[in-house]
Amino acid sequence: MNRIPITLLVNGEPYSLAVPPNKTLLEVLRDDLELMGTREGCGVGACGACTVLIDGVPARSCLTLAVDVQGLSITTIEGLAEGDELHPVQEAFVERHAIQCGYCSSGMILTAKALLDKKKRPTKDEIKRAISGNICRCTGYAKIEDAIATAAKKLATPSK
Amino acid sequence: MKLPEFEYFNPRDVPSTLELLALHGEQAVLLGGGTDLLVRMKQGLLKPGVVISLRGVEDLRGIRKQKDGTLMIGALTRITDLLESSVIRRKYPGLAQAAGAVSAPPLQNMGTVGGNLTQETRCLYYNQSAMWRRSKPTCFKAGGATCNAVKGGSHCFATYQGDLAPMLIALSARVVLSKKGGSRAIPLEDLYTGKGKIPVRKDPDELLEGIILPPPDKNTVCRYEKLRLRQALDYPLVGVAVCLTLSEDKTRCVSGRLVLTAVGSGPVLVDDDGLMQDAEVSDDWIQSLAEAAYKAAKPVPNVLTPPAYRKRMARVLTRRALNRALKD
Repeated sequence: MNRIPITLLVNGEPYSLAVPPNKTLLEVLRDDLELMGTREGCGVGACGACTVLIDGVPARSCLTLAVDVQGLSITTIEGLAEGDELHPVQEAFVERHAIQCGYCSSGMILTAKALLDKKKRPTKDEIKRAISGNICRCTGYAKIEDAIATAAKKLATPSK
Repeated sequence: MKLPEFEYFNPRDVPSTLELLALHGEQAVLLGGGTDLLVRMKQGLLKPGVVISLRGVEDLRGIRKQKDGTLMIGALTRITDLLESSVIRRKYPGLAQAAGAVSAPPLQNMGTVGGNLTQETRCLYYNQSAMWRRSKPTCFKAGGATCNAVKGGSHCFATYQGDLAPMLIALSARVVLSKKGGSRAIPLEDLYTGKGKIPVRKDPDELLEGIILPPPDKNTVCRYEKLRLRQALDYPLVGVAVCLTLSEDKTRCVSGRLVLTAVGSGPVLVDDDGLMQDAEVSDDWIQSLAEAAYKAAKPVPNVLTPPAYRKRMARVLTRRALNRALKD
């Protein structure tokens, strides 16, 4: 199959590559860019493990053609921390024990970040609704909701 | 899961899309948000030669008030756009409510109005991986000659499970279909064949451009009720949409529409036998409409819950939808 040249803006870095049109964004991130933080769960959009932010909006990378997001800004879990310093949402997930096996965490954290970028102090219901498309089979969600509320507080306090 | 190989086009406007459709017709599919199409392609249910991605066709996006008071919703408008639109929220709250019931936020960020309306019918025995399906005879939907859901069934019973179509039909929406050289607008209910195997009636070279909603009416109240096992992600097991135009004092129903989803191979516009034409609003009246919905619902055992339960729930949800619509 012919390859199509594209440029992807991933975590602020431009990557130029040629991809076959049937390659998903998930496959390009993992296989071509070796960014292994984005995971494949169900592969059919039902679980949310592969969530990335496309222009700041959570989307399923397993159901997105890489050629379709040419030029758009992609954020993966690797793009959140600054050097050794975790993003406040990541910190909160660690502190509140919102990670068990970790498979859903990349998607959960990115979904939470997108929520908090839009809404500084989300209600409990808004948190629940925001993560309702991301499945976690370990935590029972209570810790995750707690972590997102904690992250909201962290982000509201002016940083040093 | 891998996607099969295909030839890819990404037109930038409607005319070039129609040109591509005229050229590739039968072997082409239109890609909107990908949440229905790409899943079916991954499961090997569909191997199109050509994929025309509409992502760059900006003319298909957006919600526009038209001079005659109607509202045009472009096919590529995302479910999230409906939810965030102040016109939809204020003037067509029933549609905002149905949009909010679609799947879950990340998929609402991807899924489009056009894709939601033209989504395929589904079946527990069909929407599975290729390996899973190999354990059963090839069914009608997959091109075989048997139905794995209904024993002895003579045709495909796959279920239509869209959330937007019932509400848009209840709102008397029209759908605009365009092809090279012409465009037509038809009542949305006429887009559906009611047949499991080919649920949408549209020429292979036609593009669903958008939806036209009649001007809002301050005396119209709408409501969508959906049965599902989880409160997110799931398709409806039964859905009921109702729109009523009431008299000023709200004691009479001047006209209305009651539409069901997930209890047949297409959205079901309930034949209310004139019950919604200039009728007095009462508990008995609500009960009669609930019975009409019960009769019209024809679920089969091809989704998660048993058909008898879903049929009864069509009655319950109709009652609930009417009561809640009247309370607004």
